[in-house]
Amino acid sequence: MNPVAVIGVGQTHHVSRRQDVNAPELVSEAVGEALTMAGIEPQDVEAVVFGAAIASIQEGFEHVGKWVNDSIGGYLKPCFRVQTGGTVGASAVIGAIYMVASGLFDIVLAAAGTPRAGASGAAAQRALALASDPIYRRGFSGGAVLGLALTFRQYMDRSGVTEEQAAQCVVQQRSNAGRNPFAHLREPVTIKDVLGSRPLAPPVKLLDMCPTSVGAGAVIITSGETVKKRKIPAAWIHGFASITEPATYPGRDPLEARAVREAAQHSYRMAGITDPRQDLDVVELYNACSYQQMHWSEALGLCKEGEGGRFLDSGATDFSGDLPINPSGGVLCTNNGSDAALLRVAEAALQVMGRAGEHQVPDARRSLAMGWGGNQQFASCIVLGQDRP
Amino acid sequence: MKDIVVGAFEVTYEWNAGRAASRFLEGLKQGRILGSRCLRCKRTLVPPSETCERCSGRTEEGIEAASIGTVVSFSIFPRDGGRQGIIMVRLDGADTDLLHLISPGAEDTIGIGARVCAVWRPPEERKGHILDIVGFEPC
Repeated sequence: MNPVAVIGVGQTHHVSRRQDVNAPELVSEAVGEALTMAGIEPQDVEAVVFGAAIASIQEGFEHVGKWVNDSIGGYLKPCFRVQTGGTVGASAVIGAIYMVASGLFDIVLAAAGTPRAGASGAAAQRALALASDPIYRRGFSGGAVLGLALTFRQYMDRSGVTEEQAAQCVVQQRSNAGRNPFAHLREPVTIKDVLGSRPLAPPVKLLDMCPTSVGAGAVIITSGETVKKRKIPAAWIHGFASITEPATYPGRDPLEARAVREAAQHSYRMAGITDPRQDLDVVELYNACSYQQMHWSEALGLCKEGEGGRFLDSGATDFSGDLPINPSGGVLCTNNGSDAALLRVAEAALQVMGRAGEHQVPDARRSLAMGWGGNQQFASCIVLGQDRP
Repeated sequence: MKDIVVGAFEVTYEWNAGRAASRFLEGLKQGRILGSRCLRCKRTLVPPSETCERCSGRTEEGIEAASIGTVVSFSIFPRDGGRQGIIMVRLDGADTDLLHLISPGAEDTIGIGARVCAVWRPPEERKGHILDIVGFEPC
């Protein structure tokens, strides 16, 4: 593959509600930050890939990307919208990677984010209900939380992890988010807070779940030639993959998490990584629910099968550990359904570029970004590094 | 300056169940749970689909799965002032899991691995709908 790199990253400060900006204005904020970091003008962008998940119902606007294109440099350029559920932000970046790696484009912008016009959580739940089969599934309310609850229970049964360990994940992630000014939920919580929070779909409780956040992110991808010519800092793409599983939740084995496994293995192979636990310095994974960082640790090969709980308990994944998970606070602390996975890539890039500020992991040479969406239908992985591959 | 414009709209849809689901729903009216079997990889899909989602093989229809199975996972949550139990059950003879309800009143008796049976609505009340089965309870 032709060498390809991230040269600019942008994100807004994520909050519960923004009443000052519409979709184009919101996404423009993030795009502006990315352009500034990359040292390029909107005119230099040759194509746009925009990611929006469940947007029509959530925003009351069919194809938000259409509206946003005008404000982020889309005029007279190819503009595509992608939709892969919660991993859409990573898919947008992967779309940009394909375009630049092909040699047909040199500078491509990937952006994602929405202002969440649906005025209440009910809009999000209605939107998620619409994502399920109208004949077999839609009558059973529960949306994403139900799917997470069913897998959380299976994971506890099979691996022996406890709700307390899942609560510890929340404690850890909130502590990390305290160092990230762009994160949404930044206040510390205790295990007791999590265990005592309102049950949603047991074993999932309110504080086991990510919030709904308003925000946007942007990533600029360019070729190795341009990095060399412009002499700009870069986070190089070492490996990546998008993998898809069956649409119907009962049609796959959510514990096996095959899409996540295969996306990771494929990315590691491309990146020449044989021991991710040793070769990676920091991981930004998609944790919509507390227990998931343990489950994904196994599926991503960061620890042995069945060892997700012990891996957490070892402290290795804490900010001060040797393989920090989500120094940003992850999706658990910041969740705009459209930019959540893009932020994983953005944060993983910031880490290897040494630009993560207060939440910088020392000596981060190689990072992994992981996205997950469509209630486990889609998984994405991207390995980034300081060195040109 | 923050102006907010409020709007709402309502749309009515008619979703085609499709060939495979139509056969499944007709089967429910008769008190039968029908699946399809992939001619290539031999997996039995309940509910059925015409194409196997794993190997893209064509399937044969009308494979009957048992009304009894094993609990794979479940969740019981507050709803409408009461409780609702959702269950994932691997019916005997099927290679996929069915999402359905725990029969009202049976919530506290369900655990992973429990053997459960379908509770059917009386024949005259069945409409060719997933809820022709009221839910599942321990056998």
